[in-house]
Amino acid sequence: MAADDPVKTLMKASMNHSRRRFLQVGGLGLAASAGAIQWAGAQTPNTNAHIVIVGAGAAGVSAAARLSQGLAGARITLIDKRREHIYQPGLTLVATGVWKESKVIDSNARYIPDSVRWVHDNVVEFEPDANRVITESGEAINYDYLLVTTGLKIDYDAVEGMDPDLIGQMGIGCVYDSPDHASRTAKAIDTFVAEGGTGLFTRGPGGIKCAGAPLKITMLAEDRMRREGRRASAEFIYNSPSEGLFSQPDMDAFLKQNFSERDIHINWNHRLVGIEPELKRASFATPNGTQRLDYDFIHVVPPMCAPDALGNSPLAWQEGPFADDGNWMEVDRHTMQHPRYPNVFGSGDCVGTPVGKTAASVKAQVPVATANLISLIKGEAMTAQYDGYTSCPLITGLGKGILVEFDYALNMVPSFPFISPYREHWVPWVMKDRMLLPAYNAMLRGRI
Amino acid sequence: MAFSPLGIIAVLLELIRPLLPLILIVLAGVVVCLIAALRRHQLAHAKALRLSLLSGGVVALAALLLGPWITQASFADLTGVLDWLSLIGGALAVGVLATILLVAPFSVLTPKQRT
Repeated sequence: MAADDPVKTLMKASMNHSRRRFLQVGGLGLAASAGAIQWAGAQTPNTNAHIVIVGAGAAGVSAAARLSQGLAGARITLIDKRREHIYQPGLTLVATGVWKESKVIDSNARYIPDSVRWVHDNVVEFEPDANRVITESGEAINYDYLLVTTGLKIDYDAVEGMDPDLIGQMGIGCVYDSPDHASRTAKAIDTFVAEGGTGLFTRGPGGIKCAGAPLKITMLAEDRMRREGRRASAEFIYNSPSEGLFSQPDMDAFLKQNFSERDIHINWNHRLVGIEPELKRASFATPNGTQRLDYDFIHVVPPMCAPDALGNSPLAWQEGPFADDGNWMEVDRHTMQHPRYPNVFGSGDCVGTPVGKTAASVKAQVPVATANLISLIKGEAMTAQYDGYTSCPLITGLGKGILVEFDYALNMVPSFPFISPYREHWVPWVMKDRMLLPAYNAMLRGRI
Repeated sequence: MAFSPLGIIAVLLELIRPLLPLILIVLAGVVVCLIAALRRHQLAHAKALRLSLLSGGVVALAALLLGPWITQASFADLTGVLDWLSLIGGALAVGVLATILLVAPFSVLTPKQRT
């Protein structure tokens, strides 16, 4: 079979589907579990297929590197207007004054392979039935295979009265979205630490990027106030939209105990729905109706969703929790392949899977998506499986943290068995502060 | 998440990438000293070795004492055997590296004692 004929490839892939399932269920596919993906064989398959990657964030850039290393002859097109590359896992450290803003700003051009055609534009429409995407400038780009890595949208509009321009003013912080937001949040936290008062910390409902970030901001701000001897001047209130703090149960129990010991009050089932910046007052939807709380500092974490172009396209989940939550992209949670459009794969924050939306998830998902895409091009069974791996170096204070790693089953899956995922240590802090950025850059180059 | 040996090397390369020009300058200096010491037949003489070991020890001690501070932490944040072993191991590694790098410069800079 010609590896360069996508239609034939898809037909064969479809015929192989039940066999593939049998192999997967039989456990043979486990040989290529997410943690140990290697390229399928030493040879680089030849193809003239056109692969389009939408989005040049962590997932898109590392996928471009992996595909250009793993395929010979393929035309790879990466579409994204952004020239800056932001190291988003570092934003919590910028927002708490530990890192300078410049440390998280890099350039996509440093990582995108020369063999990849980079289209400086944004996709505004996905047309998977016609195998093409439409860009902001009106260009229609056809593809044989599509990899969607758009990232997500922070839905500021879902919080009435909230505008990203307010970040850094009137006691409002928000770590997400950009280094500028993180820097402005750092200034707001500086003022809160100096003046004290009531600090409200929130978390958007449903799937959010780096779900540990709202907790880390709370704990780092509290730790700083304690170190500066001003803890008594402030009240810390964490507002959870559910009845938990963290999806992994052991960590949830640890955090509940830790917050209690640190005198961080928790409001359960409090979903931020509005703020009145001039009055410094926030509104929360609760089971008992709307509750208004005054604040001196508020960390706003809006809900998040798929970007409009993706969320409104046929690629999004059409029903179910991932459609209701944020119109996330539909993928098979193990193969990262779209179940209705087999020549489409997804990775990163945009996909609707039970856990994830971290750079660690990207590190585990991208090798699976690209390995399976290459298998599909070669007409072979897709054996790579994503087990839901995600990780959060949960920084509990300056100089200490817990390295939390877990999978879809919410089981702890530590990469380094000698580092306890249940105890605070200095080593995870050193990893977060010194080692994860190099690891991230190696991932962007497709080397890990 | 498994890390292959090649993956670990890739991460370490990314770690030193920003310091690469400085590292190359230091290595070039060491190589020049090495060549000079070899030509004078005075590489790793006793006094140079003693000084290198002494300097390496000082560097290791400094790394041990300053390690937490360099990472914006304090000794109070070292909460278990893992943390202490990591700090001591890291300090020893830095000390050994300093010792190795200083042998050639000290061989050139200090005269070989005549017997």
